[in-house]
Amino acid sequence: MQVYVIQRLLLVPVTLFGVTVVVFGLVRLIPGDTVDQVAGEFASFDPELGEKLREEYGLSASIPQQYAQWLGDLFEGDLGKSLLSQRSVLDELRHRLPVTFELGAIGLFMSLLIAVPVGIISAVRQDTLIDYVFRGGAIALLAIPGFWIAIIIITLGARWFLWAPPLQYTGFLTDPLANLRIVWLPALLLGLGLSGAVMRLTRTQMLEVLRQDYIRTAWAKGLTERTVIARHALKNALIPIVTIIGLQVPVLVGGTVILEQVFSLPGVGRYLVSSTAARDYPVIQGVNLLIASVVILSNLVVDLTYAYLDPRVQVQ
Amino acid sequence: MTQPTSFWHRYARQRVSRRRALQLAALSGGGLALAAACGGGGDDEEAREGGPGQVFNPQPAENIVPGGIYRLALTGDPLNLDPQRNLSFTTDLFVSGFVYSRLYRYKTGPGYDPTLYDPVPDIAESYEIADDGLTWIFTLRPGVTFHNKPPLNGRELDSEDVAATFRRFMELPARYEIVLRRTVERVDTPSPNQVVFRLKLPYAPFLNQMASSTYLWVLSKEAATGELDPSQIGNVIGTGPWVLDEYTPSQVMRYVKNPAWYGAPLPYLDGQTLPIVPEYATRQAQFLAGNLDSDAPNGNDLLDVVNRTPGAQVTVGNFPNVLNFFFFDFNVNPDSPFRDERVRRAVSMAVDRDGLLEALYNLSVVKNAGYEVTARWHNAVPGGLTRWWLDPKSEEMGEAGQWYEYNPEKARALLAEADYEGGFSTELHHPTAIYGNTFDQGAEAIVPFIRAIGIGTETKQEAYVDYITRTFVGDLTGMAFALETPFSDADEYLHAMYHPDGARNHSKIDDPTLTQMIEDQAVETDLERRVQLVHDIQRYVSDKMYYVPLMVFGSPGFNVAHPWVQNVGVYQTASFGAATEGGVYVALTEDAPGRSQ
Repeated sequence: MQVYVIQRLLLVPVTLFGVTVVVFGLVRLIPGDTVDQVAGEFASFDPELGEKLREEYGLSASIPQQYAQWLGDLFEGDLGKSLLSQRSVLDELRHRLPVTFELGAIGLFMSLLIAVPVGIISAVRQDTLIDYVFRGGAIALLAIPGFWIAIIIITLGARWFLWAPPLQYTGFLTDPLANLRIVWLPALLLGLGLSGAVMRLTRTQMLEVLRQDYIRTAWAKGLTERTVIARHALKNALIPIVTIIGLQVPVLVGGTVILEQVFSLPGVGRYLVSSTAARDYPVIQGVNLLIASVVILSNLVVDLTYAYLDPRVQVQ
Repeated sequence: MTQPTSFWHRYARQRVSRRRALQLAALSGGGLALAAACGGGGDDEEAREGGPGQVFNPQPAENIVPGGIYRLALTGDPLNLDPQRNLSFTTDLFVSGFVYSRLYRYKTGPGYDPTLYDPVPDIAESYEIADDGLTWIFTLRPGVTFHNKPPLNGRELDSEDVAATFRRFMELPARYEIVLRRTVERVDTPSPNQVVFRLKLPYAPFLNQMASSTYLWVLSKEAATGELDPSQIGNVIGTGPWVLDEYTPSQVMRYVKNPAWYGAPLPYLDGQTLPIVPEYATRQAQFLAGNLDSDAPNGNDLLDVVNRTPGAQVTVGNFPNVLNFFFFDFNVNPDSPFRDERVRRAVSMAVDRDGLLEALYNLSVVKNAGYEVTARWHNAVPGGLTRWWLDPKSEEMGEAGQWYEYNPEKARALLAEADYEGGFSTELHHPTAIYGNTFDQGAEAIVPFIRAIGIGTETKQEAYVDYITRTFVGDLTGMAFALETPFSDADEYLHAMYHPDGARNHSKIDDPTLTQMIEDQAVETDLERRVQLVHDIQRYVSDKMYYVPLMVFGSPGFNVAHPWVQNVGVYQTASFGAATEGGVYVALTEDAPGRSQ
């Protein structure tokens, strides 16, 4: 177990280094750069203008030089400045990360709150009306995009009840109630979007576990349904679910990008969208590195949890 | 205690207001019936009917009680807070227009047509032109101070601030310097309240350039010389009517009134809150729920929004100053069919301009509801610059007007005359996902018209950066469907697009006759004479059809305000300096939700 944990931990910096190369390289494959955005057609009309801007933005050096500079700054904890707004990327992320993290965490919590019990009930009541309803619901949640539901809720809410979500985001630590008033709905929609897949997997796993010999033995011993399900079946059924929760993190990040846009939340997703359109390299690199780090860390947590839940997991 | 802006308060008010609205409607109907019965005509404007809530010839509100916070949504963050380092209209409109001043600004007021763009003094008090026409002396308004924020702490503006701003503008690799570079030789400051611009040529539209909302927003010399970085939130300090109090990116901009503004006691409002709401449906929902004071729905949603907003005040903006056009490859491709002017004329005659307007703006539904909407076709000068624009439908166009007529049969005949009887194939380039739905829909809708006369088009949708750095500068095969940045003087379009030295000469036009015509109008200081010269140019280029002017974009625009907003539509402007030119006059009634914030 210890070797497994150490090996997993050692892989993190290696993977992160690979991520920096990919993030830095891919962003430069997108056609056009920040200068094209800032100077538009005038940079073509007046090449000197374009050159001046590229120099000012640090884009006139060779790509390896630019990469080395960025990596050096990274080691000093500096993600650079936005080429367009001239504001520090780290400062921006400091304000925005809690918004996205809260949205993602509550969304994930809501998805589990919905999906796990529903999946269990659906498995235990297999092929009954309630099973069909839950499975239909799960497919619907997988099929209907969260942003569409969000726009419908906002549009109809205003038209029927003169209701709209609060305009002003308030931090949780500043005013928890005001914070939850704006976050609960996008978090619920995010959770609903994720819950479809988790619910279906929970049901499948439960069905498989419920057919195992040791479960039959538990029934034969005369244990109550609650004990059989909660104590004997659930822990084993949860192992693959932990994996899929880890895999859902990138989906979760993608979901927050769209919901932040619809609900006007000042999170990391909106920052990424606007900076990608503007080819703002330091921001794109910084945000993608952050997201990649979150995904790497979440996978690490999944791997370690997996090892904890299933002691048979070993390093091959 | 229930706040006056609570849900139930607003719900109850809407119910009451709806009843009141019905009563008012009934009274109005009765009044009109009575007038008819008596044979009375009354004042034409009073009797004028429009769509629900449409505001005609608005007059300044009486009994204004200053105060309150106006709430208006932004669609996105300004790319940069520095007015000289961006090409984002959100910076001009929502930062520079609020915080900074120009030497001159554009006139607004009751009954004034904002498409005339007449300059009036902003922080300059007056100007003089020397006899040579090359020296412009601006005298600054006395007592103009910067906002009372550190490190400037309300110090008085002087001529060095203006000169330093101009020098920075010319030195910075920014977007618009090229336009001023050809006209201004240097700037001097003979005294603290005088700024002297020495021009390279007696440039007639120079005053207009000093009022333009895309050029010279006056910074402090500290900001202009690098002592203070104006792109940082705390350093946004100007002399304008609004002080930036808070900016949380992707969330909100808050402005408070500048009590020391030269126009005090204006602004009427205590401040403006601009939440950043990128999603159209969300902005509309926030307006309907009463959380925003105004909204700009598209034509398809206008009636629904108005019907759900008791007492809605609707203004129809008809300022089409965003030029929309086709340009061609005829000067870069020796085999281009578009080298023949008959082919270009055929393209123009293939397009049903009114049909496209109908399709894109839902015009007949809006008109049938009673809204008075006029939609103009662009010429070489866009329809939003009425002083300079020559209506392609007018008799003044002479023979050249015929090429704007929708006549596919004649278009095919023109192609046949040019030896393209069976038509030909070409590429049609346009940017995508940058100018909004209307433009994208227009780019799709226009294709069948071109194909109907036998020109097969292969559509090339391009990412903006590809388009702006390659196609837009004339490096293309075939034709392109495009928009131009809005300007406020005819010369900015004519020189940029038709002069061989122009920065936006997309079709690479080099016609000596036309070049001379453009240069002549630029130095003609007699206004009437210059208008005639600009009209002559429009007739000339319409006959040549170097570009094919169209009309798909940006106008008419609709604005809906809640009944508690005062002075709606009175001080209209089509410039990005709206927060100064119109925003200082906006007021709120005493029961407005913005009063309790």
